Amino acid sequence: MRRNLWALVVLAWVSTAGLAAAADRWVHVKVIEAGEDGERVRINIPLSLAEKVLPTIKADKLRDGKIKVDEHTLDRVDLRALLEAVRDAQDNEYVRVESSHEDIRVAKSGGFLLIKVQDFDPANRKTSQPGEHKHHSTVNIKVPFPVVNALLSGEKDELNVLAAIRVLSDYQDVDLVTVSDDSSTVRVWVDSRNVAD
Amino acid sequence: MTPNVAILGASVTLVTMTGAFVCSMGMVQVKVQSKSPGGEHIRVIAPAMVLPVGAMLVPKEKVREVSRQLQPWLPTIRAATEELLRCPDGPLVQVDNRHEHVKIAKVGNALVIDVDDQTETVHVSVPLRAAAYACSRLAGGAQAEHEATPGQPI
Repeated sequence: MRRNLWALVVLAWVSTAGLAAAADRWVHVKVIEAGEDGERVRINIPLSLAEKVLPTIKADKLRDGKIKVDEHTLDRVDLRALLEAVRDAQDNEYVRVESSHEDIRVAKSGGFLLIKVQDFDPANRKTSQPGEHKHHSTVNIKVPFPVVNALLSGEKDELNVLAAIRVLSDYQDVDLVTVSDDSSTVRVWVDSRNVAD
Repeated sequence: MTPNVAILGASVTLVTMTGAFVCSMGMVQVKVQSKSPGGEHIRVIAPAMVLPVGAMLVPKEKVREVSRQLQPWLPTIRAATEELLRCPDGPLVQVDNRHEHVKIAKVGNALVIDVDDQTETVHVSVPLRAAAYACSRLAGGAQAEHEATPGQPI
């Protein structure tokens, strides 16, 4: 009897720990505006909440956890084929586009897809030495490849956000997006804490 | 036992049971403290059960409008409520600037909203189930009645 009771206690503890772990991932968004009057916004959402709520939303572009994307946006590039090629390749910088007003880099590193976009003031760029120019804004995106695959697992003209969130919940601490420009900084990340720092 | 004692006992039981039922969804708290000298201080604590009752006092035309807007979002509200109840307590949204601080947090089974600006501080605490139930009632219909009854999981 006593042994059965202990077995039950252990089973209950393991189940609860499992549930807690599943509910443990939080997605955080932090926006800090520059200046004295700048706002500071912090949002903390449990991934499990997003996972449960997304399928219930039946809006115009967001339905069943999938976002409809303008077909023309995805028509130009076969994203799936591109990612497939990059996924099986070695870590490297695969795309670099430099123009008078921006630098775009796409790389693969340690199972993550890295995208960096830097926006410049063209006048400033012409007069400054390489590497010295000031950027207007910098966007860094770091997404695990399985999450990207899940995101693109739907139809050609849709992004499967729900599938991406499910895969994302398997990861520990990940900085997904950082954006910084003259007026504000934005950070989106996932971790196991329920408060943003 | 005399008839008077029996009636008294039944009355006390009835009042206790009614009180327990009315409070079963928790309490709604609203506190407003003006910062101006001699400003008002409002404090309301009421059973969450009164939320749908309050909705009944809203003009029918307004209720119809709100109902139409709420109806498609009921599954979302229900899912969010259920999941929030399972989540650990913590701040969900915080907005701060020089003049105003807004915080929406989950505390226990309630959603707590705190606003602190230059003129007043506002504190609102609404039990999650009660808020979802009030939305269901507002959205109206027998279906809502069936799916979310007081004290039952939504």
